[in-house]
Amino acid sequence: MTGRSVRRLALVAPLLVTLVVPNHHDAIVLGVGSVLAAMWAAMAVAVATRITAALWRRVSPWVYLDVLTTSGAAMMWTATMALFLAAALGWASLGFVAVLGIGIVLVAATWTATVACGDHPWRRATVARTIVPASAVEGDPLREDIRIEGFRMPLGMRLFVTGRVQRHGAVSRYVVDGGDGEGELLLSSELGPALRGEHRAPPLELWLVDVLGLARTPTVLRGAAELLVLPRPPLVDGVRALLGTARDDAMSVPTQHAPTEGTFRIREYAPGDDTRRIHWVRSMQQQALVVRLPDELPLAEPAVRVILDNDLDSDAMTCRAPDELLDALVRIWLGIGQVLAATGARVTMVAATRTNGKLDIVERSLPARHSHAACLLGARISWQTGTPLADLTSESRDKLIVVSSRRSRLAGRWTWVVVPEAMWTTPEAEPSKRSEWRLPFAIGSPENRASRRELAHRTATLRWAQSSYFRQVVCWIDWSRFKGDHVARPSGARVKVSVIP
Amino acid sequence: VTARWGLIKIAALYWAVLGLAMLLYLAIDPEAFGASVPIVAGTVVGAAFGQALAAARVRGWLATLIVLAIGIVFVPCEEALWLSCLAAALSGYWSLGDRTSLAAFWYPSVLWMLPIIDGVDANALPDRNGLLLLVAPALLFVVFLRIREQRRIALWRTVATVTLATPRAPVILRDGSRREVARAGWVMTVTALCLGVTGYLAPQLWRWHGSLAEHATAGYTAAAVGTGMACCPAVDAEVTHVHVKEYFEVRGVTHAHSPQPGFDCRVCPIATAGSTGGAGVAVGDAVDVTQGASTLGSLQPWPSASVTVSGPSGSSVPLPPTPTLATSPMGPSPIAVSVPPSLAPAPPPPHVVEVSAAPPVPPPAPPPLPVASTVSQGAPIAASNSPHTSNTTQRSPGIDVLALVIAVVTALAALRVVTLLLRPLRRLVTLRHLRHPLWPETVDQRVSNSWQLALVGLRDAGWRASPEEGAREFARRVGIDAADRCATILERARHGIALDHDDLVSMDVEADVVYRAARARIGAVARAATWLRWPLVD
Repeated sequence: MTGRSVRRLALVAPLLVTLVVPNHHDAIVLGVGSVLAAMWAAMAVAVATRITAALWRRVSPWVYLDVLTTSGAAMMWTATMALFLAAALGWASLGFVAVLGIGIVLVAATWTATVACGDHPWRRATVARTIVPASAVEGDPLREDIRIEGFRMPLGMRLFVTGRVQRHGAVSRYVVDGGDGEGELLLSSELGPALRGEHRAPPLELWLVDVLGLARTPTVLRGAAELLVLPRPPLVDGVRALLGTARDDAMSVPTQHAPTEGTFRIREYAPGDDTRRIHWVRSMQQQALVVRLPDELPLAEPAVRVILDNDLDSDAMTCRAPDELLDALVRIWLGIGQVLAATGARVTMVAATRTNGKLDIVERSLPARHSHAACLLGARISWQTGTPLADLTSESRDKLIVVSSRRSRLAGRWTWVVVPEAMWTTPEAEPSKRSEWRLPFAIGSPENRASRRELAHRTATLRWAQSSYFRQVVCWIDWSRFKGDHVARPSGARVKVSVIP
Repeated sequence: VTARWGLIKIAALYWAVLGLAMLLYLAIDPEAFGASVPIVAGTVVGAAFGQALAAARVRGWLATLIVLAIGIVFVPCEEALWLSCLAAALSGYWSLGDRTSLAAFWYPSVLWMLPIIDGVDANALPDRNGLLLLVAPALLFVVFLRIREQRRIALWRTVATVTLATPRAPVILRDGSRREVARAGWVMTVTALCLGVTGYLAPQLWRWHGSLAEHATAGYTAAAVGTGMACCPAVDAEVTHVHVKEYFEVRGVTHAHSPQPGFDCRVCPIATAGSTGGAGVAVGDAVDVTQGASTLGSLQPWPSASVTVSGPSGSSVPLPPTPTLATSPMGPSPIAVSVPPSLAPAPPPPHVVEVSAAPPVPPPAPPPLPVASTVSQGAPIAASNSPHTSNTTQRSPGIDVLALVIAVVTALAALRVVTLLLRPLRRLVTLRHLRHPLWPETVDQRVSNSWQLALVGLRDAGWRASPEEGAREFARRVGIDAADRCATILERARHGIALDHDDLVSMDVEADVVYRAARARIGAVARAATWLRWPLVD
């Protein structure tokens, strides 16, 4: 029997016990039973009214039967047992506790079903949820703001709100007391660092619970939100080695000037330019910052296609490793591209991503300065299985650099930069052994309940198993087979690309 | 409320409930002090031990085993000691547990029941003090539930198997409808409903438990078969010691009743021993008298019984058997029971028993306080048969809890009323100072005063400034032009820009405009209610 069934059954259990079990006890049947039956009938009418309204609106009526919280159901069952024992033993305290428990739960359930379960509290309510900043860069601290306006808080109730913005991000939980929920209210919480990606936060779950915690309303969904988190490309060392050993890009010739031409090539300052190159005289003349460019031209401006290998099926995975690895891949992919562009190469970023639900191969040329377009492309990238790596290559004679988490068996003139999973993901916590002697959390916490412990244990076990499986899929332990390829490893806040000897 | 603070509050309230119950019991019946010592000791030790187990996060099944094991060790001790220790330990553990609030409150209820059922009259209804004592634990239980829910919320917000966001304090940007009075009324109504149901229904579940007292009657002499009327008892009064069943034995009530010859019984010749059969009952044996109050009323008023009075050593002394009442539909009854007049089929009139065997005693003086008409075990029968208490004997008077509670509640209510009545005066003086300072103040301070005046008016209308919100942002949000001008002058003052006399005058005027404009947005009743609001600005 599920917990929900136990809660629903708790609504009728005391009545059955009162009427059926102590039949020999006239006092209970006539005195106590009649009063409790009247209170139960009032509660039943309130619940039935809600169910009828739900049927009229063609929504599921079952949620309205789930009017008791777990605490309320537990109290009802305890009171029922006390009532039974009071009839058997006759102890005054048992009778007192039984009547008190059943009475309070019935009053709470009746009141909740009457005033809080319907649409009335939500009729004029607006729940606006914003994530600040709306467009963040990976690692930025995020804040969630929920503005509730026009909500009509029923007397004796509290509003509970919970939601999650990012898939592996923090869960926000709020409780609004009494009259605070009316008028205009702002709820905020710090969500922690932003995780790369286009996040579509599911709506918040809102429900009401009476102040004694015995009865509740069905959940209402409001306030969906969207968030775009751009990747933060790191500084990558050792990229020059990806272009080969010819070093022709390092050789340059002087620029040929006409007599009327200036000494330097100049252009407007862009963020990231070396401030020592600012041409102050020209800047004063143009009232804008102008920088000088080197008075030389490289002998060769190699054209490079930096390809991201995001071909992997990870939809069913609930562990964090696939997402963490993809974030690392995107960061390194963009970082390599930016460093190459800064060295004078003509860089084209290539990846397969979904646009309006359709899988496309997207190419973005990367200028020497920071490219917002490339970062936008990086934010949209997710694991996919529709476009194999071979489709990302073109017939051009450009140099191909593939950033991948595993060495593919494809042959060709590609330069591989392998991002080893073990270095870029957080190991999933092994499911801890449950102590049979001590509770895992502070006493009184709902998380100590056996059902929740079981669920948490199952979830942790599943994540750990999936993490192990994922590691097996992407791991590569025979380094000798990848001789001559490159590996990207973290080096403090930077990334170091080195050749596998 | 943080989880730790909630834990402290729950523990404090739990101990308050226990302590109050024990104190009240002793205050109402000081004679019970000796018998209460083991209960008090067991309760204190047990509850502390149980809560220590809970704080140590010991699992429920293990805590139960530990408590039971320790209880077994204490079994050779006094019964009340280990009974109280066992129950208090489990209750103490449950008081901090999840979903165990009602189970945790059972043992405090046991303690609260002691003074209540010790004063229960023959109608199975608590006396005046008892009714109040019945309502008090119910009220405390509601408070207990509320505090537990606050702690549960604190735990819900901070404890989880997933990563939780760090919440900030909620910011009320604008107040909604003011329903404080309705809210308080709702709380009182629901609480009163629960208390009423409990006070009415709980006594109906009580069961009587009776035994013969030391001065038990020797039984009936004979019965006139076929007449439908029992013979009068051989001894003057029939005394039955009964009490409501509870986890702990309570002393209960000694009922004394003498049937009136000709009405309740008839005078019969004294029968010899053994003339009729019947089961003997020893003094002090626990005997179920009835199944409940209503069943009690269904008994025949004077069923015959053959009883045996045992001496202090426990030896049984056979008493003359009495014949079975032929018309009794229930057959032979184990003991004779005094039936409340209101529940008996043919209620006998109140009857004053004259105890001829005892030396004549003067009628007792009226008790100084209207307390329960219960009696301790050693009370003389003569006192119980006094005209004042024809059915029950008199217990030594204790504290009149009802009068005490009424006095305390009245004093608190009066204090509250005085405080409320002083609020308009405080507001009047404050506003007067904000408009026209009562003592000389600097220009910057006067600007600040004017801004406070504007804030008071806006707060009356429900607008609240967020802590992270600047004055101009707030002024823009409320949508009153004068507020924006006030905020501009205020920010100039805050940034140290010199203000001239015109700015000060303008600030005074605009702040007053804001105050009036904001208050004009609310109704007359709400405007009047703002005079009782304090503090003026959050």
